[in-house]
Amino acid sequence: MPPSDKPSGLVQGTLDMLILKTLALEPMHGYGIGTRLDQISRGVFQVNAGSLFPALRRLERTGLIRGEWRLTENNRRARYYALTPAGRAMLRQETRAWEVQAAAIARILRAVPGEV
Amino acid sequence: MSAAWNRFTGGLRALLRRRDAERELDEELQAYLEASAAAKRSGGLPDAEAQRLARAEMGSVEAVKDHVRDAGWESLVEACWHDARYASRMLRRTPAFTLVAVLVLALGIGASTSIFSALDAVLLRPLPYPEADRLVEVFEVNDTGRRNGVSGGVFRDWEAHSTSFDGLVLTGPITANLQGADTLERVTGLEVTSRFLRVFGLQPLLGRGFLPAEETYGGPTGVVLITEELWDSHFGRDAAIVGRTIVLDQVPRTVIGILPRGALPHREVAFFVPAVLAPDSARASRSSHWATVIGRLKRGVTPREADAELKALRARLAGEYPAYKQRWGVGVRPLHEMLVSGPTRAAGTPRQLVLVLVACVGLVLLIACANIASLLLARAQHRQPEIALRAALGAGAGRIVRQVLTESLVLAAIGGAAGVALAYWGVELLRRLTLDMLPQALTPRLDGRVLVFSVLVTVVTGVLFGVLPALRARRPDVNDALKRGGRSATGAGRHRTQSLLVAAEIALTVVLLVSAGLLLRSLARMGAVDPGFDADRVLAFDLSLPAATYPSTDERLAFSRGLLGRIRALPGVDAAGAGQAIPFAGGGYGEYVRRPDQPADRDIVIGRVDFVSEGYLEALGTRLLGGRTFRDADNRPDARVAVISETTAATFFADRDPLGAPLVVAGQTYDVIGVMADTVYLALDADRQPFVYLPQALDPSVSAIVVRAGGDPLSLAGAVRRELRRLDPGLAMANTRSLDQSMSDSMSARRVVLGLIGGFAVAALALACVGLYGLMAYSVATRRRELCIRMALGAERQDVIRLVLRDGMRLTAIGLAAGLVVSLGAARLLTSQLYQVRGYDPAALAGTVVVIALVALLACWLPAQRGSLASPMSVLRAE
Repeated sequence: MPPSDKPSGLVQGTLDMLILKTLALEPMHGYGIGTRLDQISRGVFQVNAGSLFPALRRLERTGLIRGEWRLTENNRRARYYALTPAGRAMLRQETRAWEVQAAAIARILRAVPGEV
Repeated sequence: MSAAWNRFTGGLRALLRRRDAERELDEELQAYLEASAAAKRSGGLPDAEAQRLARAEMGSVEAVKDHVRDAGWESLVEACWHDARYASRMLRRTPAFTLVAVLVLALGIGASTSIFSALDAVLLRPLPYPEADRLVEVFEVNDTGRRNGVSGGVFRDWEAHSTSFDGLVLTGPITANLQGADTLERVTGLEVTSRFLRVFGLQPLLGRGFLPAEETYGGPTGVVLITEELWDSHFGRDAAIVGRTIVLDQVPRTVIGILPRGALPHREVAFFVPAVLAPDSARASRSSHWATVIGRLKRGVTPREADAELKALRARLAGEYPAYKQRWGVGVRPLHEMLVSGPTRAAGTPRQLVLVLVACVGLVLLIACANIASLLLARAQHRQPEIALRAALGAGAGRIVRQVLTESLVLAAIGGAAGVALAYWGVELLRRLTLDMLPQALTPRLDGRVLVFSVLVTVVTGVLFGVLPALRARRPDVNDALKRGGRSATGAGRHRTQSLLVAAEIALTVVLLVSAGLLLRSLARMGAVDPGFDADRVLAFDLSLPAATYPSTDERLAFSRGLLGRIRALPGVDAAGAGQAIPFAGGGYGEYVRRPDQPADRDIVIGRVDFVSEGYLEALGTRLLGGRTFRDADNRPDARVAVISETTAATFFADRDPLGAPLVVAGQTYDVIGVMADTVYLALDADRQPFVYLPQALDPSVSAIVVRAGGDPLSLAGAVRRELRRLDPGLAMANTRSLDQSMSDSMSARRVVLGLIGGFAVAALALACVGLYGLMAYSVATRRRELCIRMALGAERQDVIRLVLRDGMRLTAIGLAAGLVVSLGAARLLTSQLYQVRGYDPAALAGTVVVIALVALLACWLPAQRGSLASPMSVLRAE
């Protein structure tokens, strides 16, 4: 059986948003994206190749990111992904929606008996 | 650019450049691995260890690639393609099953497609005229709802005052002798008013249409339009024909144009001449009913609105109409409606005919589906280990359902392709068979619309017979199937499903068999109908006397006397006479008939009036019930005697002896001198009309001659033709026929319908029989162990046979009972095709029961016999 393709605890669709955010910082190749996510989340999100590459393919297909072959700092060929204008717009929209949802969830979780 | 579009083109690119896309993905994953290993190396691991760890973290490269592929829609296409290839491999592996299934499907889909072409032609396809929905028929109708032809004067009223139409055209059927270089032939045509082409929206192939002046009395009316068919058959497609003169009924007419092939609703018509309504003639009056009127509605006007307008117009003009027409009004209906509900030579209208055929072919298709579903279920049984293995290896339920359904669809597609090839002949066959039953505008054709239907029906069929096996395959018992080490299991549930399918097949077959039985009984009933005359050894042919050469009554009568005299003098002729309404040919006139001592406005009785010479009734062999027939002395223009039919006598003279009684026909009083048996008018199964025979001298237009022969009637035709030519070389004998042939032909439409539905019933019976046989054989095979143990324990062979037979016959009984109940309801749909037979006709029902029981017994007995022959030891040892 193939390894589980969803990182544990990651809400569906969230991975796409995180990838977009990572690429908003700078264009990056697949391995770099995974490492960057790991670093920024301090090891909470460890994205394996089995979920990363399908997500990249999806995002590229929908025109949110664009990939091109470039040389890495070690002089190796790698496919670098960069945000397209559509991707940037999507990231802004997703971020806003996420903030609204997160705030709402936080309020619900803080609710005490007798409130409402 | 939208995201969906991006996804679509991206997927398409990946499909088209699959190898490039794969290589790129390989390369990218390789780069990922290297980057991962490099990171680990820089963390201090040795190279080999770093690479191993990088690989381990990624897991199976193939699995990752699978996931990436699944991210795009193109993977689904690929999977389906793989499924289809796998399916065709599996189908190749069981060639016998595949062949049978494809054959059954090809027949089912081919038959459905063919019948659909008729349904499309009759009910769905627009008529072949521009904006055909604006074409309507306008007719006269009386207060009892009886429709009738239109009077010339009434047509003029509509034409002059109505505002609902872009144009109205009056048409009337005519026949004429067409003079060739050295041939003479009677051809059928239409007289039409000048707006004819405009109303239908037709363009002549060559030349032009009629001008208003050409329908004006005294105008240049000597013109004719011919059809492309006549142009082909008689004038060798010579374009110079336009402007030339042809001779019709000895009147020279200038050909002004040629109409394209198939341009008219009816196929018999070969030429068109202007309909001239001479002022003050009977044709221009508001009384006699004779013409058909077609109108083209103005854009935006509905038939209902036109109907209301004409009704209001009729009320306004009521003062202009004669007294006896006060009970007549007007109606409007779409031309399409007129064609599909119009009279045909078939039993019932074109609409009823196609609905019956569609219902029957639908049943056959359903049976075919049930049959293949049950074959697939039996086959799935053997494939259970394979499917269980696939499930064990990780194939999801959805994946397996898709696989099984794909197999059904591949099967259906092959069957459908073969079916369309069959339909190519089927539609042609149907076209020929329905030549007499469907007007030309409703001819079945194999066109794009029909092909779309066949694709739809193929997919629906595939899903229909595939869905049960697919749902079955969804939950295989993996453990059980694998434990048995490849031996197929016997699931009681599976048996039940198949049993239900087979019972359903039997039930549907019963419906078809009962239908065929009812039709057969109707045909037999019809064949036993007394035509009222002796159809054996009677020669009949039609004549038309041109007005140009026989302008007066005297000349016509003299011609008729001369011809009949010559014919009677021929050896082998027993009797001869002239008439206008020959049995099975129609003709004669519908006239108002009443008794003088009863009020004029009593119930309207329209009798069929035929003007006949002496010897006519004798030549037909009509039975005289009382009084006498016409003598030579009766045949004078001032004769006031009538011979009436049984029905006329019963209608008017229930209270007294009709002989010697006066009867008023079309305003003129006649004395009844004889009563004859009712004779058939157009069809054996139609109600007998009240007939009144009057002396020929009153209207000697001479439309047909009948000759009673001592021997073979058709052998007289040559001698009769020679006599006719001697008398007048300008006259053609038309429709030369023997009346027993006419009688047989009059039932041909019923025979065609019986043949089609009987064919469907036989096909259904064969399918159901195969289904039952297959199930029993299969059940015996899976119960072999049980049967052998029974035999080992002392059961006789007969016991085993009885055991199997009981199962099969129980199933048959269930199907039979259900089928009989359904067919009682279904018979109502068939009513239009039945004649003097009830839906619960005992003979048809009993016949069906016997046929089904015998066939089922045979289908069960063969497997039972085989089951009882197995040697217990060999079977048990094999276990």
